[in-house]
Amino acid sequence: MTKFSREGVFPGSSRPHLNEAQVIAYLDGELPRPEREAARDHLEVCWTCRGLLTEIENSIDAFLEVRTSLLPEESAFSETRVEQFRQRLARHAGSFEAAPVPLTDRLSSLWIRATHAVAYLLQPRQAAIAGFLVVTMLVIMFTDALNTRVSADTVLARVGEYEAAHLPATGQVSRTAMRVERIERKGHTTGSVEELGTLTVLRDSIRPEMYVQAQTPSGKTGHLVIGDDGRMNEELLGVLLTPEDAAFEQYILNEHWMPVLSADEFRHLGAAQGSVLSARKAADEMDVSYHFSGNPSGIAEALLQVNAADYAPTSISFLTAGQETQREYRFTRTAFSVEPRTPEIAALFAPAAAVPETTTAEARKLPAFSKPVPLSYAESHATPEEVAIASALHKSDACLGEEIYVFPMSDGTLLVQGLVDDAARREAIVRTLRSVAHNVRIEIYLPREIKNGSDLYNPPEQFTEIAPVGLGGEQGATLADLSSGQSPLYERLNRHFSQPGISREDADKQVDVFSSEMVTIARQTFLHAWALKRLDGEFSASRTANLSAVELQEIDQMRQDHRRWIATLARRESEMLSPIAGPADAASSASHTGIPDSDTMLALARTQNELVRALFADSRQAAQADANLSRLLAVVRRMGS
Amino acid sequence: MEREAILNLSRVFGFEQTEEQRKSQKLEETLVELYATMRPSLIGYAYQVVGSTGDSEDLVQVAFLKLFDHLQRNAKILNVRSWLYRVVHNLAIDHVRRRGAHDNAVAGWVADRALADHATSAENELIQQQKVAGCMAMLNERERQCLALRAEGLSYQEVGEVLGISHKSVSVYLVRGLKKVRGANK
Repeated sequence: MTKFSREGVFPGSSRPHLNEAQVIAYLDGELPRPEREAARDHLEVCWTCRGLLTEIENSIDAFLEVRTSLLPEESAFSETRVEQFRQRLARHAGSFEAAPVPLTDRLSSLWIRATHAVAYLLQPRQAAIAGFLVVTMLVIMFTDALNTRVSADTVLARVGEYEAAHLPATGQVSRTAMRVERIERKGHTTGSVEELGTLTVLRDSIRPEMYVQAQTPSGKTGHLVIGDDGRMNEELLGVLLTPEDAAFEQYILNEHWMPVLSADEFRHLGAAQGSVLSARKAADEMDVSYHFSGNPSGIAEALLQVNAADYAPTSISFLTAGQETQREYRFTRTAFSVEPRTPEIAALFAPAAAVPETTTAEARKLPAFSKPVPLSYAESHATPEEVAIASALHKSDACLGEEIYVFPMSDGTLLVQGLVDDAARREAIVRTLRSVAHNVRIEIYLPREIKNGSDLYNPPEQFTEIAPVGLGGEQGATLADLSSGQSPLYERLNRHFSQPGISREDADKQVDVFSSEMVTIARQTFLHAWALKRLDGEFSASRTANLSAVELQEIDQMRQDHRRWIATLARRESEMLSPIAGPADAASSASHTGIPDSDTMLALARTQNELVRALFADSRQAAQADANLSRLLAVVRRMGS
Repeated sequence: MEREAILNLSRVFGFEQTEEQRKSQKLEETLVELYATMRPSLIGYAYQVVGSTGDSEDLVQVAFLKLFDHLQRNAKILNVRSWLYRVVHNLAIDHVRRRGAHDNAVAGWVADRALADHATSAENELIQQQKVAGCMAMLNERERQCLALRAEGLSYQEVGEVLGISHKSVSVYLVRGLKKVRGANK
């Protein structure tokens, strides 16, 4: 008979009871091997410790139950979330600025690392084994994990660039609408949000004045024309603010703040006090703020919120100091458009003397926001987003003969519009575009969906060159169709392909294949030259003045891609043609006259395309076959050089 | 027909996409797959700290963007899982501090339930609420974090890496935490 001992040691075992930490570690598989075996042996014979083990298992279950009830329910939209992340990552990857390390080295080792890292993840046990390398890891983590800070000056500079790109051109005005809100906070909770009204600001491209209109939700309005060095006045602010906002009103008047979401206007707020500028980046937004203390108005912070994707300022807030209660005045941009400067609108900017300062009773009625219209390239600036879209279209070959254009719109947005042949192609293009640009409007039609042509805008720019024949249409005609006759070079080609041992039919077939390939390559060459020329207008020097080096490089890359294609295709043509050309042509080489510009390239490409069609796909011009072949060789050699 | 001809030509000359682009795209694809796999667990953890699903989702995405940057920059990561948890943890703590509020998931949960069905709240629902609130309230922040990370299947070593403490401390927090859970359930 063995008596149960409740002391530290179980009589049958030489080992003391396990403590809680040991039992938990045992359950978690965290004990080193000898200890684990000893613990297992002990648990087999000891009821006390097994009881403890069960108790611990129960508390683990209890914790898991509580935790499960706390966790958010798995959303039904997880696939959407993943897709949304895919797009966000693509955008992020697009903006990733490469460090100046040799690219090939960087990428190959990066790939190896990524594979390794993921392989580790998929095998948690290996991950645990790798724990001894933790020191390296901690160093990495501590240096980078909280890197959410951004430079306030950089952000403001980018905001300035954004504004410069969205200034109204001569003959236009810009119109901004802002919602004005007062937000009261108590403790940590967002308390009441009260809409005070809207401010509509018109800025002119000709006169320095600014037209500001205030309107309350109840319909009370007031307006004011603010001159170069003016400011808002009590009457106008009085439309939106109540006597309890007197301190804020005084602040606005003292600071001469103009109701404009701009980097300059914002910097102006920080200039007065000995203020501290800081910035922080959240997911899709960046905040830049000035903190200042001791302003008699009680305002302690001015905060400009900026869209992280394009640096468009989205709102400005003025916050009071206060531990318990805090008040925020927020001006959020709700609409922005650039519109024509009609005489009606021009009259609004008339000098203050000509118009009564404010007429709260009867503000002049503003024409409603007009429907955004496409701007020409001359009227607009290229934005980083436009470059990203063009580059995405370029990568999916949509710049080759497909009528798809990126339209800068009058409200500052972008529209991708065009026509493709089939739904699968449309889907592929839309998917590519969605991965780089989330806000862009995409209208890609199939021919049968176009009713009367009114849905499609004209291209933003028509270049002086006449439109290429057959662009987009007449697919069937691009392959050499020799069924109805023989091409001018038929005899010569046939001689070339007729070797001993090759039947007449096989030789004929080879002639057909050769001709088809020539025609296809010639057309491709022409389409690349056309796309190259199109880039000239789309990203002219004046349109790209505000872009960063990264975007300019991307545009340059597109140009180079097209040039490389042209050169390769032309060389291929030249190689194919040389054996069938006369000895004089075969021996001559390209006369070097420097790299052709895009206009010359387009002219050359057009000529080669026409010559190839005349020689290989048409049976009517037999007479000039030799001369045409010589010309063609000269042209493709020039293009391939 | 036409498009096929174009595509075949691309293949013949083989440079419509550079090697670099392909690799970078592969990394993106790998990360998206990883995100799909790890998303629920990481969001669960972030939620426990910040108490909002929207914010959690965002923090987790930001962590993955950082991972992308990190790999692009050629930095070494030996254990991606604990790296991600660590970044999410830090982002979440930072988020809470910035917000200036410490209403964590418990408070949020209780408040939500109270608001949602205070009229029809069944008795056992109420009991469950009290149990959860009681249990979680007894745990301190570290204990809660250790238990949650362990519940996600991280080893002590990994939990320690995420929280910046030793694996021995992890063990101690787990023991204390489970003891409190047991006490609350009695």
